[in-house]
Amino acid sequence: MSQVRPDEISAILRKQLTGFDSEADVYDMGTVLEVGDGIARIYGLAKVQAGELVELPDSLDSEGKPVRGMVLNLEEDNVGIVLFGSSNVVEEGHTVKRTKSIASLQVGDGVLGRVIDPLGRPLDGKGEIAGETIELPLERKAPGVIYRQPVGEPLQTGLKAIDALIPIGRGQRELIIGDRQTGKTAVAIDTIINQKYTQDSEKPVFCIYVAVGQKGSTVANIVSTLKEYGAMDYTVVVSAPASSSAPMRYIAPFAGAAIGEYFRDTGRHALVIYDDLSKQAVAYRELSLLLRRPPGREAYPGDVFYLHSRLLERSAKIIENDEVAKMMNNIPDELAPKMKGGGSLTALPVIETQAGDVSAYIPTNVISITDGQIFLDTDLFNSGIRPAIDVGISVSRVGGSAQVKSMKKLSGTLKLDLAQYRELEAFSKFGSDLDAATQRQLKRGERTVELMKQGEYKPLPVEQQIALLKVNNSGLFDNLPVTEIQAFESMFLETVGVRYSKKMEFLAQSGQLDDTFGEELLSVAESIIDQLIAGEEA
Amino acid sequence: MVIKAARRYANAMLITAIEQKILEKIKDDMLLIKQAISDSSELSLFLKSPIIKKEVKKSALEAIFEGKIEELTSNLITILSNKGRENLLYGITLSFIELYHEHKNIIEVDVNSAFELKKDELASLKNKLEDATGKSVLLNVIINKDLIGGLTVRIADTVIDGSVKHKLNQLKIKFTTAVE
Repeated sequence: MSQVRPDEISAILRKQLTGFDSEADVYDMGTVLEVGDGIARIYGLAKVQAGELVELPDSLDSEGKPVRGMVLNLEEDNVGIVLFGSSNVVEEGHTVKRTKSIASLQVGDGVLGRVIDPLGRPLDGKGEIAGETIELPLERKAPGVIYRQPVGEPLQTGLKAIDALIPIGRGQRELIIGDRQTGKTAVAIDTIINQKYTQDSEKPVFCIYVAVGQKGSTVANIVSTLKEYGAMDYTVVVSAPASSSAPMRYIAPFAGAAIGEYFRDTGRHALVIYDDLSKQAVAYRELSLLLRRPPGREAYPGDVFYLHSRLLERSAKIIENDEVAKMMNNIPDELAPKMKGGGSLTALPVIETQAGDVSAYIPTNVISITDGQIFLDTDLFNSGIRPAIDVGISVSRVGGSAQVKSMKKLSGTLKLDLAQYRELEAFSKFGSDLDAATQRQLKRGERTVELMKQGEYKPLPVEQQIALLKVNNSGLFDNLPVTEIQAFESMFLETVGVRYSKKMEFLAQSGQLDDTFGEELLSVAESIIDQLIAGEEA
Repeated sequence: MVIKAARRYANAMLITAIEQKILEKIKDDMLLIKQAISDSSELSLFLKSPIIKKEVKKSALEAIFEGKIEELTSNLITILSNKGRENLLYGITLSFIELYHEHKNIIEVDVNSAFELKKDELASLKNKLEDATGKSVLLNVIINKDLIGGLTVRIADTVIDGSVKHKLNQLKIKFTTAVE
């Protein structure tokens, strides 16, 4: 056993202490005038910047650390700050020190697999973030037009209904909107789980899940689900639960965006989920009202649109050209040497509506900023159609160009067919006699809707989706009872997976479904359908 | 914090005083009034009270300061009394002194020291601060045993901290963070 020599200890301590009587420290200081409801007003700090972090060395929280705050209001005779910690320990007359740094967090590849708070502090008890980290500001201007490129690569969610009908591309912003309990988070989590297949490819998608104002137990559940499906290895969870202060909930999505930008600007792909932005807007409203900013519609401050637009604009597909990407606007100094082109940041913001009211203030704002929305409906959910996507009003404005070729071909008329089915379905409820063509269309629609159903945490690879859509389009399902569709799906995928593993692999890589393989798939499907029908009759 | 209106009155006073070439005298008046109000809580309450009639306030102020202040200053008191703004008086004196310092290129510097400073120490500190800021410095020395040793200098919002207390705190932070 090695021994520690006392003279060594004193030598080290002395070395630590040599810096002791060096230069005097220079800092800017102000005084707390009033405090309450998580905000404080400060006298002094004449040179402080908006958005700067300040420290209150006299106000120590339960862990003995000084409370920190962020400057939001610069007024004529005082400075309004929001406090990140408890405001109980802050008293009138306490000193406030500038830190001279704008609100920021430490980001590096080490954040993957971790649960952190919006200021980058670990919450999972696994110690400091490992590896090299760089400091990135929470607020950063979105890349300009010349540093962007149209969306062109698909981001597979693994959900048949989304990948076929509302495809999402890398760099897109697709809103997930719906009432409470319609499976919004489930869509987001499935998408994260499905990114597992990309991890072995050349272009892995790293995921960031931002939980804003959610129950602590919900966040814990999500983390354990992600772990269970092996998705935590490439995911960061930024948590600002309901118990955290309003400023934390306000900055959490910006922290998620900053982490996403780290991957985006180093030439990689990232997916960020803001769950949910309505709660962020509520937190921002809380702060704004306490800071006495004038309230507008639904008591939200005037700049609540800017709050979401500046956040979502940061999702982008960056131009492939490294030279151009290096000249991007507002690159933080530490990030500059790592800049690379070709990266992307895809955003899936979540908005919770009240009683299906999409014309409320925040939903309309976010709908107008994003490149489309996935609308989840309570009635569909309750009638067993899960994911409860309302295909009629869900759109993807740019994802189509990113869709896999054969998928695009197969899903071309699908949306229209489904819309017609919905219309006829309502009509057929009157019970009048229907002609054969209408009945056929109803039959087909019913089966397509059934095929689009999918269990939670069971994302399907794109090649399997293509194979299923091929069968659906051929009309082979018309004779199969609706109740047997799910059984068919599992039998078919299993058989095809075993019999044609090479060809399926090729389909996954190239996205091309040639005619011979198409025929082979259909013949497999036919034999399984015959088998199922025979079983039904027996 | 000084109310905006007080700053306006103070500015008007300063300009008039410069015009009439009685700046130093007015400054002394202002210091006198400031001292009187800050020393007597009764007077400051009396001026702030909305119940007391302005005629009473006016005559009381005249009685207190009569013969001790310049005509210009007593005019100010009359105007304030007529407009019912006696409560601004203290703020005006503060603003006036601030503006006077600005005019004369003087800065006030708060020095917190753990021990009484000797005359030559004060002189050298003053010289150094004057060199650094380029302005003439008015030292406000406060003895504060809490600092343990050394001193802190505060110029407006900026603090130059050379106190032993601060150093020890920094050392404490350094040691505790190293442990984690």
